[in-house]
Amino acid sequence: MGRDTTREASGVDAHLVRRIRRNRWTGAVVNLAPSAFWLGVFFLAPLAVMLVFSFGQRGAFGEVLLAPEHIGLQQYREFFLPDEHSLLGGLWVTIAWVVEWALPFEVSLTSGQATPYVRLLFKSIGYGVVATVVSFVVGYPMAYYLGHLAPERYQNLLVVLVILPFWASFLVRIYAIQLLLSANSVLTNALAVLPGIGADLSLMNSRFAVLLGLVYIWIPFMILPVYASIEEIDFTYREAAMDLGADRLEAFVHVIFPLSKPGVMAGSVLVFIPSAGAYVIPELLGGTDSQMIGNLIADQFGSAGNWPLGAAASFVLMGVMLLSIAAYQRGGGELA
Amino acid sequence: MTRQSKSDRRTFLRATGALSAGALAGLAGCSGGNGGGNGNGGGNGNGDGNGNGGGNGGNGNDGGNGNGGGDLEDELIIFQWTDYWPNGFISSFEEEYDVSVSVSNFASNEEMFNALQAGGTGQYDLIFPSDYMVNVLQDQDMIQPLNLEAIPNFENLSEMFREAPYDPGERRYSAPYQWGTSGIAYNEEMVGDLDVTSWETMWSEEFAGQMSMLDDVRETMGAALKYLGYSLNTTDESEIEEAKELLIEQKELLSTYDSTNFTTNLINEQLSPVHAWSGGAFQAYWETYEEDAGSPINYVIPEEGGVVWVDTAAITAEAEHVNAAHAFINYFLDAEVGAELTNYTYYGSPNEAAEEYILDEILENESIYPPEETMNKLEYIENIGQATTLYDEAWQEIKTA
Repeated sequence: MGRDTTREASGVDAHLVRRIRRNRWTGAVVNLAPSAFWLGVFFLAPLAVMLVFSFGQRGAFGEVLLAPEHIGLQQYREFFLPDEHSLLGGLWVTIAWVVEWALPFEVSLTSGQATPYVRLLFKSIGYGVVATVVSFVVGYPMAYYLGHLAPERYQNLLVVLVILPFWASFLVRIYAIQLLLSANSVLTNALAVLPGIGADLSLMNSRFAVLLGLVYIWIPFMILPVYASIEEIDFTYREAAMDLGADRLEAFVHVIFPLSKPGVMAGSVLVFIPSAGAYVIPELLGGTDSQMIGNLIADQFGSAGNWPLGAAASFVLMGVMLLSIAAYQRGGGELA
Repeated sequence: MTRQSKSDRRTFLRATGALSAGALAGLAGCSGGNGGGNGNGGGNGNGDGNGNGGGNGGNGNDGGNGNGGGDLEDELIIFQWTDYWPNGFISSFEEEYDVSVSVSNFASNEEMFNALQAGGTGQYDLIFPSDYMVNVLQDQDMIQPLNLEAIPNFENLSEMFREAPYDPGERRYSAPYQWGTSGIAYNEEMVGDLDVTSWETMWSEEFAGQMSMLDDVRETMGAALKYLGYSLNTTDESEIEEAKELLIEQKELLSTYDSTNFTTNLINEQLSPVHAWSGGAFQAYWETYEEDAGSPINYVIPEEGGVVWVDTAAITAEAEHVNAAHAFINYFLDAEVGAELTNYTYYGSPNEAAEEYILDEILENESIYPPEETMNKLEYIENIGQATTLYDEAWQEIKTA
């Protein structure tokens, strides 16, 4: 009898818990509380603090001034608006500069220049785009091989090999690249068999070194999503296309590639975002002209002691990232 | 301002420490002393420590040290750079003054500052900030003025260090501990025996593509300003502009801006000449040192002058053991004890009276003790308030030019 009541009671408890969890309102609270807490405390709150800082001013000792009279858009103005220009004038100079910069041929639209911060931002985006394109060119054939051509029993092993570099620390691998690219290294000695190249050639501290580092580190993020979407493709579509008169190239361009596009889009976003925001790679491999926006932000939070400007630059960078994700979604990608 | 510089100086210390103490084993215990306890004092019974300990005892007697400020507490909590004094240094103090000392270590001024801000200044009695940080700590009321009557050995300081631009005002908040510089370092194996006397070297076509400047606004702008004959603390916009143009001109001659790898680049003959902190340059020196051949690494302070930095001791605002802290400052400002420090670290000593006991090879080394003429042209990096943003803007212009 007594046993029965306890069983009944625990049955009621379990039932109650189930009801709470399944109820439309209480369920949401119970199920979401842990992740909401995590996101709120460790992501949203710090982000909010940084957002507030980005409207502040730098004090004489590097502290952040947040009194009402210091609050304003001055950091964003500093970032975007060239000195001695009005809002419209500055906008024109900046746009003209971007057009001049982006076009492959020489045009002269304005004698002014965008602020160094804007120039740095576009340079970083440039690095991100080039790293993404190179990753795509190098990674797509590899993903295609992995997803379609490779014998099935080796497939998993090959995928593991793609991820393998992640087992070693990021930093260690960058230092390894440093050793490879410096003068009189294994690589430069091997290259010296080619005419016109000496072993004392140093490839370090150059744009090439930075791009090599970016592509090397992030290329798995291109290969894996592309591999996943190619693996799902039903290749009888290609046979159908070829039955209908397409040659191999046409079948690839019109059938297979469009089917793998979601993977390409996802991979591009995954490579572009960390590349454009890179800090360590340009710091360790770059030369005098390979500073990126990440280095600017680190400087502002570190030696320059200007947290508001660093915070503003972070939010500008975040805006660029969000734009790239928006482009991804418009291109038919799904956020999942 | 020079976040990385400090850890570089510290690594150098480990290298020279190994040399002067002649015992690597002792160092492991020393640099592992993070988080306190009496780690630094304990277990240092090697010959070096003992010999020095004896010397200190003698000094304490004839100086009548440290009792001017009232009764000594029986405890002292110190926050110090890693490996910044020889073995036995703390235990000698403990024995002489009957104070039990615990030491924690930090790796950068900013780290120390954040620790004090987060946990209150009462955690430590005695801290060792660098010049510009003294200014910040004082402004934030985190350190208290020294009672110079309790530090009779303050008189031992040389003229240059008795006045401190980073610690102005009627009352002193800091007592100088050790000092160093930044200048030009090169590897003879790479560029031959150079006759470097001026910053001009860093602008010469001859070394295009194999030079680097420090990746530090104030250091590198400072070098250019000094080359132009200006103060490296100038707030004059046109002077800063001129330095900026000069550095943009220099850019195509450089391999990179770098303050973390220049030591390795010197050792591996990747870059020379480089703009260097003295600590990193000496580390490269000892790393390549061979008994009979010496070392191919040279370090020069250009005749136009450059940056001088000094690490100091200061007492926190909420220190609980104020008298013991004063006693400790007086202890390391003693002539023989001060010499003992420099003989260990190979940094310059601000202690004029100590020079009698400092090894000749250090005193005669112009890269540690530059000639007076150069010495007069060295400047501290001072906190220049909002003018800092002028430097930062110029630096961004240079980097994106």
